[in-house]
Amino acid sequence: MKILGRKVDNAITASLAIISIGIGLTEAKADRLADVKKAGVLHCGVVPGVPGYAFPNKAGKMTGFDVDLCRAVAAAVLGDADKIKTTKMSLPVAFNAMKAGAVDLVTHRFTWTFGRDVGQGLDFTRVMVFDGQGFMVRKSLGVKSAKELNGATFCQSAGATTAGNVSDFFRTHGMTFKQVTFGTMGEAQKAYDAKRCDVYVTDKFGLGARRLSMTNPDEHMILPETISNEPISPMVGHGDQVWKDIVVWTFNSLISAEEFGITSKNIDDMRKNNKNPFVQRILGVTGKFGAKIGLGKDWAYNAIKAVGNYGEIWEKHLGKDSRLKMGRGKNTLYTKGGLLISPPFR
Amino acid sequence: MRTLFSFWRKEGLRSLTYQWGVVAALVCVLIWVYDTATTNMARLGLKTGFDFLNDEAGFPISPALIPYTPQSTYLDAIVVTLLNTITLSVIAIFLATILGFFIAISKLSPNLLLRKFGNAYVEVFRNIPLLLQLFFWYFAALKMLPGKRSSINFFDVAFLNIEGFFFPLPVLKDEAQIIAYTLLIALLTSFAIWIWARNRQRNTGKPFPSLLLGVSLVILLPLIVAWVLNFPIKWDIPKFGKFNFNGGGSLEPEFTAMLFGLTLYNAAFIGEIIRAGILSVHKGQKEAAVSIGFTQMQTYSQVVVPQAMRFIIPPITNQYLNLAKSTALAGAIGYADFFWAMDGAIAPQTGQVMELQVVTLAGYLGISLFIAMLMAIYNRVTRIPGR
Repeated sequence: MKILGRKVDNAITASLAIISIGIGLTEAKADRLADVKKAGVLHCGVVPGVPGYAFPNKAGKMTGFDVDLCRAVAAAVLGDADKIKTTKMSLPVAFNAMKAGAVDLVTHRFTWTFGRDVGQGLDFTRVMVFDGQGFMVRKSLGVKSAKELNGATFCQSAGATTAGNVSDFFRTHGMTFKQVTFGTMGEAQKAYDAKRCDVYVTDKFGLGARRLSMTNPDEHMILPETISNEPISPMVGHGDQVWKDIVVWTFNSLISAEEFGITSKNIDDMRKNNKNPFVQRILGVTGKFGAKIGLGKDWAYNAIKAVGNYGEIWEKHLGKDSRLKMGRGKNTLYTKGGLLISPPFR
Repeated sequence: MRTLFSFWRKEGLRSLTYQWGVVAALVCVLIWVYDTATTNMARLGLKTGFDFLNDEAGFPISPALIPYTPQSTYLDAIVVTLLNTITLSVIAIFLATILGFFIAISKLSPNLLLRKFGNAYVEVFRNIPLLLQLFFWYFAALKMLPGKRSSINFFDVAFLNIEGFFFPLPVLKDEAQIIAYTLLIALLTSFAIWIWARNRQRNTGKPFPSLLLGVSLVILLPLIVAWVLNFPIKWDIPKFGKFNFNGGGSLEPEFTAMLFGLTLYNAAFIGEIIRAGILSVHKGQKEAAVSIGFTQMQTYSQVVVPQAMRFIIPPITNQYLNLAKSTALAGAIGYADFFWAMDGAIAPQTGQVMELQVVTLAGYLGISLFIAMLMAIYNRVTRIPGR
């Protein structure tokens, strides 16, 4: 089964590489909304198999935080959260596929950086997870801090921001390290699990998820240091402002929904009875926000109804209702001391 | 009868029209591709150019055959990984050819067991995708090797664990230069003896064991000089630090797995090529050689192999090219090869995909053309005059 999965993955990789060359062969088009409506399905690039973010459930359907972001946009645009198609992509593939326009939206765990945002044909939408890079080691190593890792070997994935961050951190502290860089996160994790490396490195909320899929999760621990600031944001192609607005404001509505106490359970009641003008505008009772971005008045209602507000999505896939049981860290509302804030619906 | 289209009946003119028509169509397609590509790139706001090659790479590369640190430039990273690709290709080509030769011999052997072994080997290795074989060797190796703190110890000088094989490296003192000169002299002398022996055999038919003499010269002479000088060589022995061995040389499991996988896979094909070449020599040639008193060894080295070479060189060149190109799979199991650097490390950091694709294409084209050129030269030197 694993081998089959990898084969399929490689086939996708190969075909996407061909598509990415197609940047020279496809005519310029910049009406993603019309394309998605015509296709009747939203095509998302997701991280290949990370529990909590995008992972097949028992029925073989992809679920997770990243998948729910995709479902929210599908609900807003097509009125049905299930009209999605997810393709598992490694980092470099997701990057090229988005650039070539082969997917509508990438909800892969991509760090928003200057180098990726500028001059690359890509646009980041909004930060959906405030993360930071951390280290996972075996408890038996007896290391308590990242500063004790001088000379250690790291396993990581190609194309991630990790190499640069680790290199900067070690240079700052006058330490050296070795690294083995694999084509995908999955291979890197397998090699770490096979004890090829002392340290497995990626974003902390990713590490929490990865630890669970190790052979023996209890053997591993995550070191206290966070060595970088990793704002994780979904991406769309550059140059289609309407499509970017749709995606950004759909995500904003999920965060606003949490701020105003709208949940997937009480949303119908809120729409009927709540007198708060913000709630009424978000849910399309008043104002014509949907029409302004080419969607129906129920766009945000559909999205929140389908996947819940930000807090619900987090708890379901990453937090207390999941196997990961991760705290939200900085990913709480600004009103509670966190970093999540949505521009107002006004 | 002359009509407007009568020129069409002239064959030369007609084929010329066809040829130029195809060229014109091709040029149109290229112009269209270039035009849409530049339009799309302008729309997406893509920046182009090769200036980024002088920026700091920021990632370490291991193994690196020339000095390299994360502070080196992207250009340095490209050179280091290109060297890694070339090293891997050259060693794998060498080993696969030797192994392939033995596979061919065993498939042609009168011994039933050897023949069956050769058949089984070829069928197993050429029918499984190379990538799967690489994953198999890599993860099998990781499963079998001991952890770092329980390394297999070879006489306290070499160590084997999951991070690789660590061995002592010689550090030469100044007097060691003399040994190097001796080695050079021994090599030149053997070469001269070989030329002389070849000419003598051509003229008089008397054989001379020049190979045996040459090998013993090259091995013994430097050894004697080293002994006289009291072995002026120090050994840099790997020592276990906090996390792993430092000092000495090391062979990492990623490289070893790649070498294993490439060698075993390609040896199956090379074996079949060599076998076909040997079979292409008419058996009358062998019988004639035996009838004038050639030994088995002489029959092969003087009669069969030189003629078989004509059939072996072209397909084996293809196989070498395939091998060199398939090193690009190395990134999957973490060996820092050329393609790994371009596609996995540099492209995602800089986003200069188009430029890097050009460099990648040029790199592999260069390697392939170089191999093809060497093989063409070899082919010209060894061909049978007049055929």
